[in-house]
Amino acid sequence: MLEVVDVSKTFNPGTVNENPVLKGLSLKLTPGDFVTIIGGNGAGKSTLMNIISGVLFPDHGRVYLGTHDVTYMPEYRRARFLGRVFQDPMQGTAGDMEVVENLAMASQRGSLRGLRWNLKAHQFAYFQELLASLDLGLENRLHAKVKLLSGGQRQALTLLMAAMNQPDLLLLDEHTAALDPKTAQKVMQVTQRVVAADQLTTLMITHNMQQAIQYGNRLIMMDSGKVVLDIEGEDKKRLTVEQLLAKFVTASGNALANDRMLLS
Amino acid sequence: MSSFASSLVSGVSQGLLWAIMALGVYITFRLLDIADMTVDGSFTTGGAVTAICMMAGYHPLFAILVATLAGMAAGMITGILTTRMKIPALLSGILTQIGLYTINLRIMGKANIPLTGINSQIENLFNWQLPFNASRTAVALIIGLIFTAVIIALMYLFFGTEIGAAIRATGNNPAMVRALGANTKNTTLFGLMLGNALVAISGGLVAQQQGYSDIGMGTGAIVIGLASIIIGEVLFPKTNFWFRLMGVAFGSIIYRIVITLILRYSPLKSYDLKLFTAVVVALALWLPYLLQQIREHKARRSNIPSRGGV
Ligand SMILES: Nc1ncnc2c1ncn2[C@@H]1O[C@H](COP(=O)(O)OP(=O)(O)O)[C@@H](O)[C@H]1O
Ligand SMILES: [Mg+2]
Repeated sequence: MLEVVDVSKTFNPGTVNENPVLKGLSLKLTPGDFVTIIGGNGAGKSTLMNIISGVLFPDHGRVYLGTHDVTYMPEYRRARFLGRVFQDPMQGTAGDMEVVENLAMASQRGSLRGLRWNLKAHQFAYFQELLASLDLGLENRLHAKVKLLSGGQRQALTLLMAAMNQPDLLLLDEHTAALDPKTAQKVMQVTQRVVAADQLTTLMITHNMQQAIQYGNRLIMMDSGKVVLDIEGEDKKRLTVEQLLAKFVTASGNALANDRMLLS
Repeated sequence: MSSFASSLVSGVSQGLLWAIMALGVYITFRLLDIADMTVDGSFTTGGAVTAICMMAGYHPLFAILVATLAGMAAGMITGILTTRMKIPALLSGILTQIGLYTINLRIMGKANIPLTGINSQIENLFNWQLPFNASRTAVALIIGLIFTAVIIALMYLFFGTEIGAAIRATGNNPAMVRALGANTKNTTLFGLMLGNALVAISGGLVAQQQGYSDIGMGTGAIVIGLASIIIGEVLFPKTNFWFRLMGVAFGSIIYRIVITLILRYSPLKSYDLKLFTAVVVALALWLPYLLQQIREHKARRSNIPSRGGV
């Protein structure tokens, strides 16, 4: 499904701020995989996500989605393969537009936009049903401006939009990190449900070790631009937070696993 | 008609013709979130192209059509500068505006083309003979009303389409638009072309109505457009798209009425108006920040320490 082959990325090359972030990273996902990624701050997780989605291009290495070599495919063109949810709840939706307008735009991901109405009468029932499934009362607020919604509601909406049209790959970058614990829990339930509903191949970055263990069938730990741990199946299920923490310390050679990960 | 009433009516008809320019500015300023300085140049381009087409004997409506295309071309230049060459949007607009000064002079061949007087035999929309006996002002009013109404209706329809929604969302959240598979370079480019097309239409109509095209006729147009938008938003706060577009048109009309009354009843001369408008727009753009500061100030004053500090 997704194949990242020997990808390197250095920011600000040739300057005093030269920062090699990814150093020959490879990763292969099979269809239906739900992979969680953990790693310290600055490990290069978001950079990897950005290279997969085309926000950034690698200095070296290739990225494949299915049979397509998308290494240098522009972001807007590879969007047809991808659903994305970002850490910042503001980033996934257009705040000045209505809930239903946002959903409608998401439903056009992957097809050529034309002079058809953005809002199509026959889609309303479907959108309403999707919103009702969130159990956040959004089904009665189809025409509300998205900027009036809470962070959690916006993130749940973004999730629906990202999962629409069954993307080949769903990318989640710490999408619950900006939410309070209760809302985060709710958004994770929704995540679990939409992923399971269409068996979406999913890559989820999280800073929360508990979350990384609880969700998905495979867990990857990144450190300094490399995959340092890759566990799946039964091995992953038996993993505990303590073990993971210990592995993090040995893998990174860093006794000070960061506070954020310890606490959560 | 009393002189007061006639200045009102003339203000309304002027306002309607300039409203089309303000609607163009609305597309770039409010929907794309770009302060597009191209406008001062493309408004004149509209007037210049209309004038030479009319001089060449083409129908005045055909002249407006050619002006529309010229405005699109101007917007396209700015769009290419900013999306393909990554020059900041504000600077891209200024560069196009400066370049257009030369082009507008080249189009006209001189700084001013009269469309009345020695050229009064040429066809002009505003010489329209109505079945009933209508004054020139009434004809201007009707033409302005037709054009503005049609353009508002077309805008309302267009921005409800898939492409229109993508353009609106681009000004709101470009990262999201790309993630949903639309090329934001193209949506931005297209929005700039549409905006400047409307600006040029307005320039062409104003040239016909005032009876000449002049190299300086677009100077300050962007500020007038912003003033109209802001007045419209004060009139119709928090309403739907339909009313916001109408608000821009009403804003333009009110702006013109105020200007006409000022010229008639105050010692200000027409060359004082640019400063007046600039000051008013600056104050209006300051207002949201000022209100926020006042709120914060009040909050600080009511935040009284309940016990002593160190
Ligand atoms: N666009 C960019 N330009 C320059 N440096 C960047 C950019 N994006 C990320 N970085 C740097 O790359 C490193 C890795 O960042 P990131 O991939 O966001 O880490 P993570 O998501 O694992 O916390 C950080 O040091 C960050 O400052
Ligand atoms: Mg990150």
